[in-house]
Amino acid sequence: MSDWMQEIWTFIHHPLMFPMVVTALAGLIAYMTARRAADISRFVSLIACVVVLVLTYRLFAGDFVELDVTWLALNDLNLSIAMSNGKFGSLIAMGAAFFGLLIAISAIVAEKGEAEEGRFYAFLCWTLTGAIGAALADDLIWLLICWELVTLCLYMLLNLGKGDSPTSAAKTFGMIGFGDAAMLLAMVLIGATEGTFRINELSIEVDSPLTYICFILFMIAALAKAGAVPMHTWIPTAATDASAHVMALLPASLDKLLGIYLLATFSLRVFTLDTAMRAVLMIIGAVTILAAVMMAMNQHHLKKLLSFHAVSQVGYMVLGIGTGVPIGIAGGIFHMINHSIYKSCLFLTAGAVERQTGTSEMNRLGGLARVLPVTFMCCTIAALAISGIPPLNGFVSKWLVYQGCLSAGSPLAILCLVAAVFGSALTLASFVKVLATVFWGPATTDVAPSGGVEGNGKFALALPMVVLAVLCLGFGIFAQWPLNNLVIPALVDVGVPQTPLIIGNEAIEVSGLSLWGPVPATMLILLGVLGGIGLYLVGKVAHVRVANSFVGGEVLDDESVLKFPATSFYRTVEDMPGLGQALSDGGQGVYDVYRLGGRYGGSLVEVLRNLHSGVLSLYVSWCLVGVVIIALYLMAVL
Amino acid sequence: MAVGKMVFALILGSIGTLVLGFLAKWVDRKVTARVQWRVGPPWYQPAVDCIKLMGKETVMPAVAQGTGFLITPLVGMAGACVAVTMLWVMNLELGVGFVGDAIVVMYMFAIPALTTILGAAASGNPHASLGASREMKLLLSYELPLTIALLVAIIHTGGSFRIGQIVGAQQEGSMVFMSISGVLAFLVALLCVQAKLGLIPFDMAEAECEIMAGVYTEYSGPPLAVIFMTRFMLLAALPIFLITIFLGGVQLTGWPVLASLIKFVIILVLITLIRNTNPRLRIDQSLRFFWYMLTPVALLALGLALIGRQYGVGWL
Repeated sequence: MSDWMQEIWTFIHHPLMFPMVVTALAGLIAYMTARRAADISRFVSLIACVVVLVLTYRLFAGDFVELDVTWLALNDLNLSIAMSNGKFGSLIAMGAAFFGLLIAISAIVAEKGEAEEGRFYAFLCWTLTGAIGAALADDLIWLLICWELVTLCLYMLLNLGKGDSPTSAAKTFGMIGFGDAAMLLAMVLIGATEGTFRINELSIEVDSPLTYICFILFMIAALAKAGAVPMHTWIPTAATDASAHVMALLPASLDKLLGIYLLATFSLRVFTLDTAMRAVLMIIGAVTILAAVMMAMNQHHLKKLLSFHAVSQVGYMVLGIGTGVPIGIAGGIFHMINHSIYKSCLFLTAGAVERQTGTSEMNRLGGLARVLPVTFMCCTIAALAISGIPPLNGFVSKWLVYQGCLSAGSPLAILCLVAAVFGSALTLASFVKVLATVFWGPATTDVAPSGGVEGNGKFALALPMVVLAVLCLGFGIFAQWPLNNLVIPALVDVGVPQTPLIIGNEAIEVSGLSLWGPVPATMLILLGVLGGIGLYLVGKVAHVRVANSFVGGEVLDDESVLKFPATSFYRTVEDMPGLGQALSDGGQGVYDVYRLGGRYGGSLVEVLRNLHSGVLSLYVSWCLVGVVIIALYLMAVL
Repeated sequence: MAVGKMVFALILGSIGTLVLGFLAKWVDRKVTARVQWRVGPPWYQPAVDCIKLMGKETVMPAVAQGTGFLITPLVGMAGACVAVTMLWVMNLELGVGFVGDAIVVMYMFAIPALTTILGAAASGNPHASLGASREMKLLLSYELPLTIALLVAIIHTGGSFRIGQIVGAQQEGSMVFMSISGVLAFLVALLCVQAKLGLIPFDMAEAECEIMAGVYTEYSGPPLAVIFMTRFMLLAALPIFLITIFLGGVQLTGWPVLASLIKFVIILVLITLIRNTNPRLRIDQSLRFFWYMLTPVALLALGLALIGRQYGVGWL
């Protein structure tokens, strides 16, 4: 083997590079076999996901390694592929591989026979390539390249959807692309002022206008990816047409992991924020929580409702990081992990519902708990988790965020705390609506069941949901484990000044003992339920008489009047003075920055277009004006 | 706390609260009867009602999701049991609680309402669904001012979510109630508790003369008995919650027992009088009442409390 071959082999075989190479190759094979042999693409991508999960786990658990290969050196400009397995980055990479694997398993059944099945797997693999690369990157330009790959794959995946998906994919690409452009600008600014693109070497105090601009640009990129207000509108638009699997993979989990990773890394490690910037983050968090969850309450399209929650929950993460208090930051990062778990689960259950009935319109759904018991159980657990009901995982992370707000102590933090607690109640409200109208109540008649999802050995569809639901329970009841093994290493990695482990009394409580004790609390609740069952047994609960619904003696010709439509569940809120108008405006996209940008950007383009009159003399005079300005400038300088 | 002690506390706390709840319900019915110029039932009547229901058959609607319909009242009762146990333990042993236990108690108190809603939805009855929708909106409406009112107390007592500290700070210094913001917050919280208990003027979720029994329409026999017991427990526990947060906590030793009891009875009678002298609000009216009227009041109290903390003015 010649030298350069040896070099390339060392490069691709490097533990940091290898996961990317595996997924990239698997994606290539899947893409090439997509049309002819979808079985091969399915098999290859599944294997790749498993391999990558193992590899990224070894990166997370293993010793620190670095990779640094310069691929372009021009005088001062030194571009390199630099990667390292910091705990936070490798946690994100591992999470990406984990969710990729679950979605791939679920897609075996769900996407089978779809025209674009093979390409779905190819893009799934390439998404993982990008996500792992971005999470492990140590060089800004390399980060941007991988980051952009994820954006591109999201665009392609959304494009595979039905209906009006090209439009929503374009909107997504436009909005995230804007964020990416902001990031590129920030990188160039940092490169010019700091003289390095290495993330580990950067440490910038936010105090001058330039540093403010840099940080805000990075914040825009992170928030557009994660989907916080006001850069969130691509998620609900994409949700209607995209398949539930794509939603479960990207907006629900990977985009959150990456966006919050970027936000946390840059706001805690790279930049040192002042109180003003922290306040901005907290306000964005609180507004995101409330605005998005209010919108979610009034949705009656299941996936769209979930997508608004995917926005709302970002608020907790941003708020937690914005508090700047270790407990709050721990809460924000833990919430990121938890959100990925339960939101993926919810989107997968929505996919199962859609597959069963052919619709996501909640007004046409009902009584599915009997048809889809496993889906129903998983959906209930995930819904209670996202609403922050103890003892599930969502409760623990929200609780940490609340505690962070209270520790921050400023009046603004207290107001944000109110928003966060209230947002949690609103989340619960909209999931009660989901459970009540989709799974309970009278079964709908106009939707024909299209083959049992859970019967017929459709194990692959149920498995990812069950795994995620079990994780919701496990991370809630045994919260100390993920906190100690996943969150705190990540915190140490981003350089939180004092880790919760060593702050003192209160903090020791955070890492274990007399914190909210999930295990005893769960035990007590179970004990209470057992006591209740005992009461039932003492009473004559076994004497069940089945009767028709009691409607005051009315004789019903049509059972369908028993159905309580989803649209009227929260109509009262929609009719509230002031609030109702704001919600209806929101529904029509009045606050959608993409739409506004389109409208005002369009006017600007129109002005420029009008300058092109086709009259040669006019063009020549414009050129002359330009020459004069340049000449004047040169004269002034020289 | 050791596991055994915790289980013991749960059993003792739940049964104690249940007994107190039976008595509280009796006070409520007796006062109501006096307001309506009647004699009222004997003191054991609420308990006897529950025992009778235990022996009745369970009627289940054909469209109901059986498991959900029957299990939700139990989960609701379990939530109430854990909430009251925590409340008792943290009142009586100030050092026991943990950071943020006030939030856990708040969440636990929300569980009975949540399970009521889910149970009603599982019953498949249109009246119950209507009631469930109203109950959920009611929960939303009072949760906001109640949270703010709780924060007022937290700011007054040194900024911790720990009930032990909230109570301890009040017993060492003065009650939260002894300040302008404390009074405002207490009044807001009292009305929120009225709604949490589902009593007139906030009983639109069951509204007997309008949607029969709303959320409880389809319940009968033992499940209904469990629901009644849960509500009785809440009737005892929520006034205790108010005393804990705003009125210096409950003490069971020496003279303070009497003071605690007097506070409890006063709050109970206040609640009963409010329910006997008001008409029922519509759900949109109560949403507007809580969000547009009480929330600004609560925010005002929060502002006063923050100003008071900033400048060291205790009476604000």
